[in-house]
Amino acid sequence: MKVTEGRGVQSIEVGGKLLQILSQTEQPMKLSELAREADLSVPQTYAYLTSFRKNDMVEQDPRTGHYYLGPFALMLGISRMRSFDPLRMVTEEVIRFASQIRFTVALSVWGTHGPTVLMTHEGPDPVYMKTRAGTVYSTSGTATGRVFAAYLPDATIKKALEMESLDGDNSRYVGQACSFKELKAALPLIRYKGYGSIYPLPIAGINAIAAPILDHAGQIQMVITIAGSDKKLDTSDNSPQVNKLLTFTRYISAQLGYES
Amino acid sequence: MEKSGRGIKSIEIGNKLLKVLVDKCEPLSLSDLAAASDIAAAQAHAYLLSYRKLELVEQDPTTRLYRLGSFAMRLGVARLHNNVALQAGQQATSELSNRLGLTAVMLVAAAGTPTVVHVSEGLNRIPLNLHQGSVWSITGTITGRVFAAFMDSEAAENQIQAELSQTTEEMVNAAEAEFDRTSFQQHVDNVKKQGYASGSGIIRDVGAIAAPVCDSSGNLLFVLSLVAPEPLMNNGNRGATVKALLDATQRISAEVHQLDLEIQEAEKRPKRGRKAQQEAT
Repeated sequence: MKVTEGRGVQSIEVGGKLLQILSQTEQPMKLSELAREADLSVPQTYAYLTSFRKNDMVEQDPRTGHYYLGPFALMLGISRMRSFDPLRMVTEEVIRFASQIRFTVALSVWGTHGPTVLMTHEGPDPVYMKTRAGTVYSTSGTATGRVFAAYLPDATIKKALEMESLDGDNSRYVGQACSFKELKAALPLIRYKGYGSIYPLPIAGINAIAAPILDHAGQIQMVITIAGSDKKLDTSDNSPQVNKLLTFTRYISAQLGYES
Repeated sequence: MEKSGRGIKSIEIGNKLLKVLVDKCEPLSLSDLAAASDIAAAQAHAYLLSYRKLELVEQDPTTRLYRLGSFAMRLGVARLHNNVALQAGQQATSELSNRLGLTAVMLVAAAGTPTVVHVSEGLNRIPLNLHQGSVWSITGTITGRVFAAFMDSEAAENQIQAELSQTTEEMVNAAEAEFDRTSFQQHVDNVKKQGYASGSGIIRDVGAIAAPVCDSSGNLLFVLSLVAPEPLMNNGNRGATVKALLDATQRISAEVHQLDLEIQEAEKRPKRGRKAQQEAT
């Protein structure tokens, strides 16, 4: 074993490279392919795979002789899911993100009454945005709500819109509701661009952009929203704020196992 | 299964560390981790350094405890996507939920405990821990009975004992009623006989129907569970819901058994030597 102070164990890192390759491939891989991609000799690669097979990290298909990740890989993933609280991680990351981007950032989940704010972190410019923990956004009338709508099943959205339409004086939700048909028409663009914004603004003078956090199955788990003065927050494609938001939500989604 | 040939010793030592992290399923200190893996602390530290570079392990900045990292998640997800049975299970979860309007959940046994790996939520919110990685009780849920009936019996027994020795509020979804071992066993035997579990009342007003998918040797691969508020479950004619679930689990089981058969056939063929395996390109 080669151990030098602070250096770690070289074989572990070489083995990690093989696992990385196996985690990125759709199809089981030939020994020679694996060796080539990892930049190792074939006998060396074979020795690593032999050790990985001993604890079912890697399996070999006896029909083809090709290698793929085994049941222990799933156990590693499950153990990670169990010892790791995505909400706690996101909460901490949102605070860091908000102070870096210098706008107000909100984290929402889909609750019993629709898009529900779990936390906000205010930027240096205080903005009046009627948002605090517990605020419920309109599904059809806010950027946040529309991002949820773009990724949730139709039946769920229809039910939320029905509930909103019962709110006659529009006092319980932030944002003005629209019809399912109208909403539905706006969704493909949100999915295509990966984020949502909305006009007319639900709160005069306050722009918002929102993007989804997706899990390993591509299901929407949370939405991150940036809000700020319409003079400062640029909602157009590839604006610095849009790019930063998307970099952030993609990073979090990757932590949840999502592969774009 | 015997796996011949010389390997890389460090990988095998590292595997011991990873196995401890998987089995304990909680963040561990360096000394606990080293002791449980039977490795000297200094050596364990070197391994952990490399695992951290790979993001296979991470260290909590506040507590200094080690836990599995984001690469562990990616490895698990890759297995979920690449394995035929697991992939079919996830598809069935989404299909059943969309078709029936109920919440469908896919669970596997990890460290002896039913653990949620995939959820497709129905229209009605359910008072359950439902995100990936949520742990369900074996003794306190209808779904748990399927695990008790079909998972490795020793592991099941250990888990049952562990749950019974825990205080009830610690256990997710634990029954508020006193646990009656005899009637639990009757439920489990019944699940074994009929091939699925159905019931309600453990969590008040929530009904569940759950069925297993096993490989051809009878090893439990995963459990699919449909959960809904009890009135909804019964509106939709419980019999039809059971049938829809069993159609899915039996179809996947049949696919898995066919695959197992093909693999067994292939293994019966003359064994290739190491050299031949290396040349299997």
